[in-house]
Amino acid sequence: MEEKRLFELIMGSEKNQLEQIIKCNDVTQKFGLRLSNEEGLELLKNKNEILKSQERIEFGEGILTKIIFTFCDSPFIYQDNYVEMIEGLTEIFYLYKNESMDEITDDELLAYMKSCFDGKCQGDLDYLEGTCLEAFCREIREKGPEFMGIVEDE
Amino acid sequence: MNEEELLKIVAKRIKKFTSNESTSVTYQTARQLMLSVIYCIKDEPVSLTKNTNMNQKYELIDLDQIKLEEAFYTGLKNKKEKIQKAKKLYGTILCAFDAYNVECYHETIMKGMKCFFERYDVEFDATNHILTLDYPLLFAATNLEGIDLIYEYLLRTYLEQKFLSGFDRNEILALLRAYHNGYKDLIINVAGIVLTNSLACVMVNHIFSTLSISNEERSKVKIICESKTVQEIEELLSTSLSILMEQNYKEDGSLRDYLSTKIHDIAYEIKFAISNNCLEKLLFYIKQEEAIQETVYIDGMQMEDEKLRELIKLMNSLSIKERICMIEKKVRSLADLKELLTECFYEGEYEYVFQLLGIEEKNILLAEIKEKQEFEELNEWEKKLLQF
Repeated sequence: MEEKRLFELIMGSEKNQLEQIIKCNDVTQKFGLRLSNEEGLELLKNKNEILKSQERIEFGEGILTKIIFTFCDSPFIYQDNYVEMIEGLTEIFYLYKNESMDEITDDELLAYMKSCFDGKCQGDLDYLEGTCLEAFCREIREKGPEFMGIVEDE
Repeated sequence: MNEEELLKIVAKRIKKFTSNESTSVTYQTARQLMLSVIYCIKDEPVSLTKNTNMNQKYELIDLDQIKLEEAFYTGLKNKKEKIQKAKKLYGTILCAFDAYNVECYHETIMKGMKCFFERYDVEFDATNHILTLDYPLLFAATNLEGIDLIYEYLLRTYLEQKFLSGFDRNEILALLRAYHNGYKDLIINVAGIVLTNSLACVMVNHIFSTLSISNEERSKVKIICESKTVQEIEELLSTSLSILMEQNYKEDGSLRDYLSTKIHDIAYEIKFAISNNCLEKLLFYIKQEEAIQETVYIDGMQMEDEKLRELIKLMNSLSIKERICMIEKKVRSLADLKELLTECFYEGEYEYVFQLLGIEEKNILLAEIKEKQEFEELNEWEKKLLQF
């Protein structure tokens, strides 16, 4: 069997993942955010494409629910840009997971992303991707995981 | 093989690998983990198969009948046991290991293997044996990877060391010098060279405690083998090997089997050397001085870089008499002496230092200088020593 197909199988069923994403609405609706089934599927499709382009495989529950829970209380995310923002954040997350050479955990990267996104980026994904995370991952590659924890807040 | 079950194991291994702190890994990591799982599972068929027919091929498909996960964990356990066995074997080898001054041999066994045992990761990167194993064995272990390869390499190294220990160390060193002056830096198999010469010695009824083949003996070998085919020479060599084994190694079966693998190559090399009239490039005559040079001199401890730098600084402020005194007191190694001669002495002063040298030390320095002058310009003191 082709290796890529094997990896896809490891990633588990989309149905399960979609259920988990829709369940997030219970929490996110407090912040005025809600996903329909179609939007959930769109997010999943987008995530799978990113995984392929970044040459990564995902297993278990996946990262989408974690991203949703981390960012749902951000003042820069609202219903109109919700899907677009989650898609952008997923792309940035996987890009910098690779760039940091997997030296940091999902939670550590998400925490740093959230702090920058709400802080100096003021909700700007381009600034988060091109400036904050670039410098952060360069430091990690240079100094190793002991660099973790140094998060500059403005 | 049941792919779904295999994937379940891989997914579990990925979770363990990331300590459940990451929901994704790169393709490369997933590939590495999957190969590790398959590597461990493949270890199982031999012990799991109930078929006793040795001609039957063991195939991974047989594993459908048993649980793959069980096979994986049993395989992993076996690999871990093999690592322990390899460590024990490595310890045994180290007790009497001799690289015969061949740098590559020393590096591979003394440094490389140590690193392997420190860094090998059987849980998550079992197929990566880390080392390039530069020292070539008499008979290379092929189609193996991970701990299987390292264990086999060590086993063969053990047999080669056992074979070499049957000869006088100085004879081997002299033979290697006869093979090539700069043998220390070559990537050559010591046992192969010794085996070829020793078998030729037996063939001409020579006492094989000495490995030297004189011109007359070489002619004898030529007369014996010239009219024979490669297969006939092979038979002759096999008989010589039997005599050698009987007398030196008390009929060690595994050693004999291992050395036999090289017989065909040696027979072909002899035939080829005879037909090209270059048997002297295969069977070597050991000159007496080559043997002496290797046996007499053992260099002393070299100084640490920092101490040597301090000494150079100090000596540059002293008179010639004081500098000579310092050399007598402080210098224990030729390498340090060469450094001091270059940095702290000038024309007209070298002779005082040369007078401190013994015959063996002078011979070694002269040999090094002669070798060096073929490739690069000599220092002042080196030119003076040649004239001294």
